[in-house]
Amino acid sequence: MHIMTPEISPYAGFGIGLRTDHYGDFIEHDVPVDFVEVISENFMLEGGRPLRILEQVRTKYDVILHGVSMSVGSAHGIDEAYLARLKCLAERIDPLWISDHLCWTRTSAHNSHDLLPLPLTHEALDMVCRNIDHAQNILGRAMLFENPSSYLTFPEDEMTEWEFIAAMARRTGCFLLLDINNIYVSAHNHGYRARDYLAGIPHEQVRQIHLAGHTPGPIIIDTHDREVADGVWSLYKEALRFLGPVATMIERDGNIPSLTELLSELDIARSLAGYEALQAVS
Amino acid sequence: MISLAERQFRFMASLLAEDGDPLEASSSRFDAGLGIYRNNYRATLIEALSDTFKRTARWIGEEVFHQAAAHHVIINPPCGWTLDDVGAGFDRTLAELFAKDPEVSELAWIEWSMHRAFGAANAEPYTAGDFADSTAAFSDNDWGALCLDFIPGISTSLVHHDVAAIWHACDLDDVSCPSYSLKEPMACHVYRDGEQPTFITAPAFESPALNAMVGGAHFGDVLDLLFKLRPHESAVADAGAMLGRWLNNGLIVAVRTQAR
Repeated sequence: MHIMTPEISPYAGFGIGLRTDHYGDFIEHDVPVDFVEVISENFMLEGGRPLRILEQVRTKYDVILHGVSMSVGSAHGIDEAYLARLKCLAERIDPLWISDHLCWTRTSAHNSHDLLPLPLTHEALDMVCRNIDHAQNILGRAMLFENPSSYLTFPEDEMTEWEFIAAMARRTGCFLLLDINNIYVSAHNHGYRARDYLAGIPHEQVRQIHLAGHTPGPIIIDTHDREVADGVWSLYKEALRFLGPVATMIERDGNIPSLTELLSELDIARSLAGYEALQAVS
Repeated sequence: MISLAERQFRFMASLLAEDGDPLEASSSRFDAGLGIYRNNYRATLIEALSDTFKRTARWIGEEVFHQAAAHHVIINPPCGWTLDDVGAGFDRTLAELFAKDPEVSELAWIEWSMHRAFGAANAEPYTAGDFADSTAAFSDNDWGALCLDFIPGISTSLVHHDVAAIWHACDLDDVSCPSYSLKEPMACHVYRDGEQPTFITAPAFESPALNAMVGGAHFGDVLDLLFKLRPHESAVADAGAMLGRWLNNGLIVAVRTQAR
């Protein structure tokens, strides 16, 4: 079932993930970003300092709510209490949009608090689409879903990840948050070409890009604890040729550097996007 | 082919298992990937516990804390969507692991309660003036029927150690100090003062009194309780002093009377 939800207009801004280390910077200064993205669950509280800070930030910047616990890939459905809390936060903050991940985190009994991989099967696709339809219906809006990084594949896989994502977007009307680092990581770990991934997703559905760092190795780990790797920047440039202007942000979750350092990385994204835009015109 | 539900059940069981047995009929490549998820799972939960119980970790030492945290997440795998709940029951886990050092679980209880208070609903504390206005025309019956609403997220327990001194020692990284046993237990109330979680200690009788009133008991019921816990001649004065402390520390947000 496809539930009609409001469109999300293309938006070509540049932002960063808001983390506690930088709360003061964002409240006391005018940080040169078009939006900030916050982890939804950190603010799904009844009150206190985090909510007050977020409301203050919201008076100055557009905000994106990015979740890690919706678990749209769960065979046991979505936690209704979670959805109610998220809806409450969205009504309070009026975000640009709400996003989460194409993954599962929970069974009926336990929660891993990690973004776990899905078998790429028709059964999983049906389940994901049902859960996304339900979430979008409850929230009353279309959502964005992020392609995961992964460290294993399942023997029962019946399609590629980009085929899975294309079908998911077509069937649910959801939009895509394309994490370029995750494509890079998974392409390396599973031995496919990142360009095939970029070519295979529905470009018109992409509304946001994530750029982040990873830890190299025989299996690359998506750690978000260092600067964006050269290979990921190259892939970003390639993605822009497919996508055109699209909201882009730097995502850092560990070894949080100074805001100045993050903004320098964001400037690289800005200049690459500007260059690709000029190339497209000429 | 196994169902998605069964696949996820087995995958989760493998993450949660202490020994980390590989899944049936899996390849070495699959197992290597699964090992990363297992490590992420465990590391995320232990990091969450470390964030919530910073002083407890300092008190018992980081390495010992890490072992205790790993033990806790194995015997209490998380169920809810919020990582904030991972610390639920950690004080009880520590009470079992540190039976000879009971101050450890008391410290952990305070940190857990402060963590809960941190995100509790906002409310404006009643001032002494508000309270005086509300109760100015009270009859004796009204005092007996008095009910109080408390600052959201408040909790109380008895402690048997000088938790304020232990807290201070942890702040100073001076954890070689004694455990500061008290001759008599005290009440410890944890609540949020503005945006900052904090705790105070008080005479022991305040803990059951506060618990009763948070649970909806009337002030008259609490007076009856104090007559059992305190010398008869001082019970009424003790109750008044207790109310004063609760007001002065911003624990009360509303007063009302309700038929007993």
